[in-house]
Amino acid sequence: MPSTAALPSPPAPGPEARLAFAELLLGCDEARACAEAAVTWLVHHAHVHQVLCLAPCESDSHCLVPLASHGLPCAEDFVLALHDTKHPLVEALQWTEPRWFHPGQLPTELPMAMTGLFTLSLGSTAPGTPATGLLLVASPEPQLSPDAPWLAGHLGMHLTRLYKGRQLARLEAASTELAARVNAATEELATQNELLRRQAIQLEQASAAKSQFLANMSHELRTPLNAILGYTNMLLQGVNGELAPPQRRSLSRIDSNGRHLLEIINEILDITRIEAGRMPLHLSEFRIPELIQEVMAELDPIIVRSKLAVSAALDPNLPPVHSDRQKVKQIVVNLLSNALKFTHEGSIKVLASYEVPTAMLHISVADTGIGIDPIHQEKIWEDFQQVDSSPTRAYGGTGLGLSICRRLAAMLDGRISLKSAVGQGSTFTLHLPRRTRRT
Amino acid sequence: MNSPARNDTSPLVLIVDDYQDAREMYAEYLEFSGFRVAEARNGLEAVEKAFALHPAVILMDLSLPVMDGWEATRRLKGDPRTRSIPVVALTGHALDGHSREAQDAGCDAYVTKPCLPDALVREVQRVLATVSPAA
Repeated sequence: MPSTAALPSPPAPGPEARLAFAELLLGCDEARACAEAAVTWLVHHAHVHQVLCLAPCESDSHCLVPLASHGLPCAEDFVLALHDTKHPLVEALQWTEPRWFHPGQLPTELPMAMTGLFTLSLGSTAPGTPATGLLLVASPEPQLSPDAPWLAGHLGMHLTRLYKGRQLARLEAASTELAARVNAATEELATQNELLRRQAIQLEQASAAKSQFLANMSHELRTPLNAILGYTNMLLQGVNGELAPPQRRSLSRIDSNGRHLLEIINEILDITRIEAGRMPLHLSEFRIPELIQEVMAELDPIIVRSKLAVSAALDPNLPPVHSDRQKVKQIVVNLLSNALKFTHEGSIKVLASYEVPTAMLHISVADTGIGIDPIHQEKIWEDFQQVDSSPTRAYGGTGLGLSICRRLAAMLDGRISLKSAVGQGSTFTLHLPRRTRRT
Repeated sequence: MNSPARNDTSPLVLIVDDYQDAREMYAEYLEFSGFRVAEARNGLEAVEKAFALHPAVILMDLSLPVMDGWEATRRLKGDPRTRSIPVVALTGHALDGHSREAQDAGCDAYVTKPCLPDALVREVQRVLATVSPAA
């Protein structure tokens, strides 16, 4: 910071001088005209002998160019007035207040150009930027007319105002353009949103239509299948007379294939109902041991045929459960059927335990079957997916069973987990809350 | 219609279904199982036959032309002459709501198709066992 010598505050000019100067400035809306008028006025009315008015060059804002001057012999004998602490020049010099300088006490940070004028770095301003108010007032006497500093300050302020006005106009133009862009973008966004909303509705409708189609289709498929299974059943019962063994065998094939087809249709219907939110929950209080007994009784023909050691180990302290009995049973039947299907030797254990702190029941079906490679352990929960879904696969089924189980478990606020290794067997566990909340 | 059963005192079952193959299949098996059978193809026919024949039990498909099974059941249950005849609803629609609507219409039991003939006959026997013979 250079040493400064502020002039003692000169007395304020008289009201007439103020009015005249203010009128002069108000009549100017262009920096050069304003500066020329001010210089003329200063010379004639304020008895200032030498005046130099500088402003940043409009084409090169790094240079100061004279806007107007009068009787200035050289640039060494003057007083420099910088006013308005917000003025870009003052800010560039890091002055906090206006300062007045006498000749010989110039701030060292104001470098002299070859022409004897100042060149200041003001940072970049676009071409066409209006000239700002730097006023240099030169006088042969150190003591200026009391009006001079005030007038110089006002001229500078007016020039600054003009500059700021232009800046404001540019800012407003930019702001208007920005607002227009924002509006356009907002409109575009609204259009996109509307489009998305319509697409969402269309998707929802398509999904509902799909569910309705599948529900109708499975009904339509079941109607003739009912007759196929019914007549086959009647023939096998000998309603139309005794059958020769080959006929009975053929009919048994029709019967078992028909039942398989029915199973597939029912599973598709189940998935459809769950996805359409039309699978009702029937909550009741029931006991797990009886349910597991029922499941094992239902699968007994398959268990007997399998020659596997199938056993149940149930925690004696299992509390009654408040859930959907039919769905829990469907899950356990499915898990046990899978275990029977994928186990060729060894054993299958059905385990049930209760975890008091979490109020969760764990019903596991542990087998010593073929096991599932970790890379397939995600896939098996997806619709129509089996570890081997190829046409030459060794195991039949729709690939919907576990996908249904997973959905049913979720409906009951539970989940199914899997622990398995190839050749080591698999353990599927249904984790079921003691109470299912009705949603 | 169907040939009369072997025994005029055996219970008469009215089977209502617009799908001929299913209707005749159940009729044939019911007769095989010792019942007398009458058939109707729609709800209106069912109501008329119920008034005329006064069957021991009615097997009512719900999705029917002319008059659906729910409306037919409501009419039968609303008339003192047929109110006491048990109605077993029979439907291929497993969607939620059908069983409740069937109950609301006054059905005494509900069977979902596919239903094997022997299972249907067991249901008929069960329903007949629960109602008084005076019905």
